[in-house]
This record gives sequence, structure tokens and C-alpha cells, in this order.
Amino acid sequence: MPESILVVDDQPELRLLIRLTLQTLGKVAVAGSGEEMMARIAAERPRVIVLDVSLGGESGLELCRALKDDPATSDIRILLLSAFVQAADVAAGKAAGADDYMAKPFSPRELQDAVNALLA
Amino acid sequence: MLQPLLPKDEASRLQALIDLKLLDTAPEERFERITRLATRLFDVPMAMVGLLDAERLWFKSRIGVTDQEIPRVETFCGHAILQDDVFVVEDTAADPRFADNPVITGPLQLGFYAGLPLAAPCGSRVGTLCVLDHRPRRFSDADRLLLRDLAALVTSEFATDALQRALRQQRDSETWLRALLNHLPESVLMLDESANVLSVNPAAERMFGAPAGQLVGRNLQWLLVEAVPDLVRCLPEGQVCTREGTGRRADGGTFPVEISTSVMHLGGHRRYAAIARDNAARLEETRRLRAAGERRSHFFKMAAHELRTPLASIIGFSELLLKRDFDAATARELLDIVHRQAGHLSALVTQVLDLARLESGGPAVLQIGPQRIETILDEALRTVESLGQNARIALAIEPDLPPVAADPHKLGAALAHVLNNSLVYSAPGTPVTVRAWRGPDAAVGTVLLRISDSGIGMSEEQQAAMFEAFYRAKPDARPESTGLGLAIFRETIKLHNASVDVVSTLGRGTDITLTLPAAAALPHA
Repeated sequence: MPESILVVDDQPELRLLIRLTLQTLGKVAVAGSGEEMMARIAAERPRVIVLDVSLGGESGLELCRALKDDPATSDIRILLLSAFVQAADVAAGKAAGADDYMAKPFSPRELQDAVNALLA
Repeated sequence: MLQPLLPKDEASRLQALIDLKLLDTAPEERFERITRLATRLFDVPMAMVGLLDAERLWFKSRIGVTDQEIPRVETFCGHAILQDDVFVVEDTAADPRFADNPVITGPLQLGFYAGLPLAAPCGSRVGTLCVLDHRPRRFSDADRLLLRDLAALVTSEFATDALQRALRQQRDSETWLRALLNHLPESVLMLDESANVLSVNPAAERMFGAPAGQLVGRNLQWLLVEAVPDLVRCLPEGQVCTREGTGRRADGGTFPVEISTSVMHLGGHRRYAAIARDNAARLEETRRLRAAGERRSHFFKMAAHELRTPLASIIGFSELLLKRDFDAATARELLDIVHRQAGHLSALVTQVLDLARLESGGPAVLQIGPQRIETILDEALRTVESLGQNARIALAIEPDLPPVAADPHKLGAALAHVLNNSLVYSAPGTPVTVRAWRGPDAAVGTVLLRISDSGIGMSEEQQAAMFEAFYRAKPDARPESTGLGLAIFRETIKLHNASVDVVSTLGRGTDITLTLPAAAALPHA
């Protein structure tokens, strides 16, 4: 059974980009909102979530914190992806329990390596 | 002829003479009285009070001579001031030093001279009191004593002058200080050792809202809402203690205040000078600057975020296209995304720069002149033409409107952002109406311009945020929107001294009404 990865981003272009980038690593599911994300998690039981920090009106940081606080989902590795790249933003991501934090724009190669590391 | 030598202190002596302020002044009875006395007491035909200038001997008072002054080189006084005591030549003809002196050989026929140096209050010898006779005569010790007494009368007049000048100067400087204190915008209070108010200036009366009579005797802490420590206690000499606090007015009102105190000693008492400044304006300015700084840094954070987002697609997809093989249709689809995101990025860069230029440049960015409202609307309509929906726009412009004071390109571009929103956020078939009419107040002169649509409308929350940079009411629906259009619109309106009024209901539509100032005249073609 291939590894399952969930991509959560409100921008369709980014969902497509990340899906194409990561599909060599396993089965990739996508979600455009927090609500969709919860449905996908229930259906796919992903091992890694690539989560955008700004999801329209929703905060990726809060979603990340909620997942890490819930024993049912706390073992899912989370990579936060964000166009906010200051040290304080990265620190806030780590504080929300993220396993990794990557800045936008990113190289698909680097994203692949980072997700691979989380799957290992 | 023996010419007198220059005294060693000649320069300071001349300065002392100038400071006396007697040279070339009119005769005065107080000196006339002394020379008169001298002629009587010594029974001589001539007596003078002479002031020895650089090149001349000038007579402040003279009896028996007609010249007002004589050359210094010919004088006996030039010699007399070199002496400590009375200088006497009992028989000038017998004295080889003066035998060929013109004052002896000339019409004056000087036979006898006795003179005593006159000292200014500083000690410098500035002239002489002398008695002269045409015939030689004896000058006894008693005569010398008498001459010294008369000279003392002259120098005491010099001293009186100096004293009066000093008094006048002090009075002037006191008046000056008082005027300074009265007109100083800062409140000045004098305090005693326990910080009780001894005196205040008018600015302090205004600041604390009470006449001096009500403030004097109060403790400084009574003028403050909370005790401010250290203002008078343990303040070292020569140091200023500055503290911030809250001042209390006599009517109970309060204001932020900054008080600086310093120690001084007056008449053997320890006193404090306190200067109080109303801090409201400075605190407000600091708050305003901080808010502006925060707004700017938030704007840059958001701008960076917005610019990075399309870049993520551009860099990501182009790298995938370069490294992987896609079928032709997929490759084309991905390239299309890259192209669209690059276009979005370009629009973002342009608008971020436009907004930054409007915000930092101020009114200087605009070229404001009298413009017909039709000209401005044409500019806006041309800009939104690319949407292909201009047929939905209905114009209702009142005829013969006065021209408005506007930069037609900048205001046209700003209106295009509103028109764009109206067209995009309303159903394809529905009209977007643009009305323009004369403002109700003819005296002020305004033109009102309203853009109305029957589109999706905005909630109150959305209306509150609509002018914020990078705010998008529906981010998913319009990925190509930069979120800067209405921020640019609002900034442009502000620089036009125009106002904007928004009326919007969810599901019903939006009215945006501008009030533009009218201009005096149309530009000449």
C-alpha cells in the first residue's frame, strides 16, 4: 500500500503543483479548506499533511495545533507551507506543532525531499 | 620739548575712558562746580577736568581756556597721569622739559601747573584735575591735600555714573527676564525645598487653569494626579530631573505632563525651578508615528506574502516542466498557469508601487486641474473595457456640471477599480449605473458621483475591511484580484480632498458615492 499524503491549500494551482510534485512518493489527496481536510483525513488516514498557513479565512496554524492536540491525529506529520517567511512566522509554525516549515516559493525537488524525510 | 610717555596700561586705560561715556558730552554742573571751587580755593584763573584721549586732552569742564581740546603731546596732563600723586611745575619757564611747549610760549602764557590723575572706578587713570596760572607760584603741602580732596569729588562722580549704569542694566535685565517668563510657552514654577509653589508664570496659570494666587502655596504634588517621585528629593546640584505624569487642572480636568526640575540657590535658600510641558501633542505624535510604522510594516509583510504566492506557481511549475516529461496537453496547461501567475505577479507589482507612491508622495503625485467629469469617466470606462461588459454601464450625467478639481488619469484609474468590482460582483445581465449631479451646497461647490450595482453586496464586516490593502471579500472567486484596487481608490480619493460613502446590502447591491470638490474653471485647450 503506497504512502498517503494530503495537500491542503486554498489555491487550485498550488494544489495541482504539490500533487504533481509529490505523486512520485505515494498516493496524494487534496483539500481546499479545513473542513475538506477533516473529511480527507477520515477517509485517507494520511501519514503526512502539507498544510498552507493561510487558507482563505482559516488559519493553517490553528488547524495544525488542533490536529497535534487530538490523540487521533497527533501522529500525522505536518509540513507547513507559507509565503510568510520571517523567523517569527517559522517560530509560530513550530510552536503550533509543525514537523517542518517550508517557505513559498519552493523548489519541487526540496519539497519532495522534505516530505520524503517525514515519511521515513 | 619733552613729550609725555604712554602709560603701560594705555589700551585698558582708553577702554575705561570710553566706558565712562563722558567724552564729547555737554558740560555738567556737577563738574563745573568743582572747577569753579578750584579756581576760588587756589586763586588761579584756570582749572580743568581733562580726559586724556588717545590723541587729545578733552575738557569735560574748563575755566579760563577757550579750546575744548588740545593735542595730547602738548599737555602737562600727559605727564601728570604717569604720576601717582600731584604733578607740579611751579615755574614752567625754568623747567627745561617744557621750555618750548606751545602752551607756555603761545597765547595761554602758562606759568604754573598742578594736576592730579583722576581714576575711573576700575582704577585706570583716565584724566586729570588741574589748576593753572599765567605766573609761576608755590604749591604747598596743604594745596596738594586740597587738590586731592577736589579730585576725590570728581572720581566719586565717575563712580556714581558707573553705579547708576549698573543699576539700570540690572533693572533692564530683570524686566527682560520677567518678559521672557511671561511670554515663555512653557509653564515655569518656582518651588521651595518642600516643593511648595512660590511663584508661577502666566503659562503655568493657563496650564493649571488657576490664577497665580490660587497656585502659590500649593504643593507641586497637588497639581499632579499621582505623586511623581524624585522631582525635588535628593536632586543633585546642577542636574535636571525630568519625569512624566498626569497634571490636574483647577477644574478637575487632567492632561499628560512632563516636568523638569533643577536646583538653585536664592538668597541662601534651596529652591527648585520646575518647567511643565503639556505632553498630549507629543504623545499623540509618538502614537501616530508608531501606528504609521506598524501599518507600513504590515503592508510590506502582506505585500511580500502576496508576491511570493504567484512566484510559488511560476517557480514550481517551470521546474517541473524542465525536469519531467508531460504529455503536450498537460504541459500546455501547466505553462498556461505559469503565464497567468506571471501576469498576476506583474499586476501586483504595478499596484503595490502605485499604492506606495500615492501613500508616500502625497498630493505632489497628482496633477490636479479643473476637469470635466465626463473626461474622467471616459478614462475609467476605457480601463474596464477589457472585461467586455461596458454595454452594461448606464451613464446619467446632469448637464452643465461644474468642472471638478482632479487628476483625470489617477482619478479615472481609481474609479475603474470600483467599476471593475461592480461589473464582476453582479449578475451579467444587470446594469451598473453611473450618476453625476451637482452637490446640494452651491456655495461650497461639489459634484457627486455614484456608481451603483445590484450585485452580491457586502456584509458590514466586509464593508469595514473593503479599503484595506490585500483584502479580498471572496478570495476563491477571483484569484486574479490583487486586493489593492479599493486601497488605491481610497488613497486617490483622499489626495483629491474628496469623500466617499458606501451603502451596501448583502444580496441587494452596492452604491459608492463620491463627493468631489468643484474647480473654479475649465482648463484652456
